[in-house]
Amino acid sequence: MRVARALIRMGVLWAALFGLFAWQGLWKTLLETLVGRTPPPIFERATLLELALEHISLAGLSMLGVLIVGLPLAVWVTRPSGKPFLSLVSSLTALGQTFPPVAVLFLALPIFGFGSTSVYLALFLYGLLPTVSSTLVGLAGVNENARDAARGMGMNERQMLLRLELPLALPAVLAGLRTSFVLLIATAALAPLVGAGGLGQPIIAGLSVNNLGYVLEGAIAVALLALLTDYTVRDLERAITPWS
Amino acid sequence: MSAAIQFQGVEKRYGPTLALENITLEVPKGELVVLIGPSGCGKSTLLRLVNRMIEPTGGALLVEGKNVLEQDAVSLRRSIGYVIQSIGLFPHMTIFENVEVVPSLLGWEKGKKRRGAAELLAVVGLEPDKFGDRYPKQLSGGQQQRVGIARALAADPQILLMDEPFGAVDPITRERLQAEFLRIQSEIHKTILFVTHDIDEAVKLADRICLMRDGKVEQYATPEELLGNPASDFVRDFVGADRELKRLGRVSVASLMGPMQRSEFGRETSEKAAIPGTMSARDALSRLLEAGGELPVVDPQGQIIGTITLNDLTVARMDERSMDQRHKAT
Repeated sequence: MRVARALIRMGVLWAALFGLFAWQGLWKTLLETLVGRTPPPIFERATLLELALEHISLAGLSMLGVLIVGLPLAVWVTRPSGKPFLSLVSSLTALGQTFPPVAVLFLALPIFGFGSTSVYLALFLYGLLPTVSSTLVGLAGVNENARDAARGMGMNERQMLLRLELPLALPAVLAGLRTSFVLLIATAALAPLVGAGGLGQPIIAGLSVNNLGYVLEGAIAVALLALLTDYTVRDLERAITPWS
Repeated sequence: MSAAIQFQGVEKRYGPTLALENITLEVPKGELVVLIGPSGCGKSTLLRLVNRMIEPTGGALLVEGKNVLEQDAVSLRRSIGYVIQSIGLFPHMTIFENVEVVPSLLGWEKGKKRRGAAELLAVVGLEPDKFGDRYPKQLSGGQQQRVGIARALAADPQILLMDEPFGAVDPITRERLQAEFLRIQSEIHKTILFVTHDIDEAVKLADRICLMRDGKVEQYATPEELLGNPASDFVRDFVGADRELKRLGRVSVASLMGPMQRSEFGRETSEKAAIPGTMSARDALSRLLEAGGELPVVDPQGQIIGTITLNDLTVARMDERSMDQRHKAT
């Protein structure tokens, strides 16, 4: 019930945001009042809605990769079988984030060539840390007494994980996931540097032809996407953890 | 009476240190046995051996006649109730869901689980309609403790393990919980192994007390025996200088009083002065100290049934009364 209400609320907000992106006329008026009519301040090679959808798919698919790899990885290194790898995984994911995404983009170029693949790789590596480390923190923070009680009542390892540890780690997991996702949406603006699309296109084009309007158009749209993503995950977090 | 739990020369070694040394002990079916001793004496370790949270390194431990090491740990644990000091309620589950944990693990059908949970919440004094859908955070410490007990009873285990279950609540709540717990136990007659470091709690609740030190049993006896006949200086010190008072706390006035005095016949007793027969001898002593030499004892209807004097409360008199017709004080 609570979750359904949150989903409806978010659906409405996202529809509104896409409606805003699709309203090309509004953006034209806005940018013209901000930076003047010449040069024409609105990016013309693609509509804002197309750019935004491209952007979301770049960040979204990388995020999916982060979840598919990051969550099981974090769970595994907290199990007895994976414990020896715990510190290795923590350092590697930290390394993934200390490496600047621009550098990863250009390092990936010779291997994957121009296009989205290099972007996915760079974003994936960059987004891994917050999700993995928060999940590790969340799992480590599960109350020792609750764990003892669960074991003493006869839960096996799998039941402990599914019925106790993961639900209790959920707030931390979601917080990490939120950080990763917002980070990826912001960083995906670099994608056009290696020939991929998204909201970075007007920004980069604007920088090279010195058109402030283009830059603003892309930057405002990225910011709106990031904000709504952050809000969505927060809202979902509240809806699915009513006990906290 | 047959033994529900038997420790046969049980030993637990951590590296070079012996945490438990040659423990031989029988816990009779339906009795409440308290394990007590200074911290580090091994009482909790002994408790946790029973549901294989810890495994012995020597000797044998039989539960209902079967060696625990020959049983599947998970199903053994599901068949034994478990309550720990910090309760360990699951914060993300409602009170109902918490109580239903073991029935869920056992795959009970939903309606049966919920009916059982509601019934047990009522037994421990929590209205199911009011509390069932709340989260543990929304309950007081004492209420959480009650839920912990209800949860341990949910799958109707024959054995309960309780590790300082009333340790984390304030003294007043603790006394109330103890009294209610005694009432529940008098109805359900489970075999209970109960760890505490509080000798008053032990004397109040126990059918038998096992006093431990340095991984060994110092004395295993009824509270009366332990208090009246300490096996060693350590036991004597541990139970305290007021051990005779503690002993008085376990018997009712009615079991020690003398016959009615002739002068009492037809005499009006002011309700204030009279002592109910169910009062503990310890409380009666306090009243006698206040009132002087002797006081009338009355039954619940207010009829005088005897007299109690300071002399009735002396150790010699207590030993005179046979212990097998022990009346437990309330």
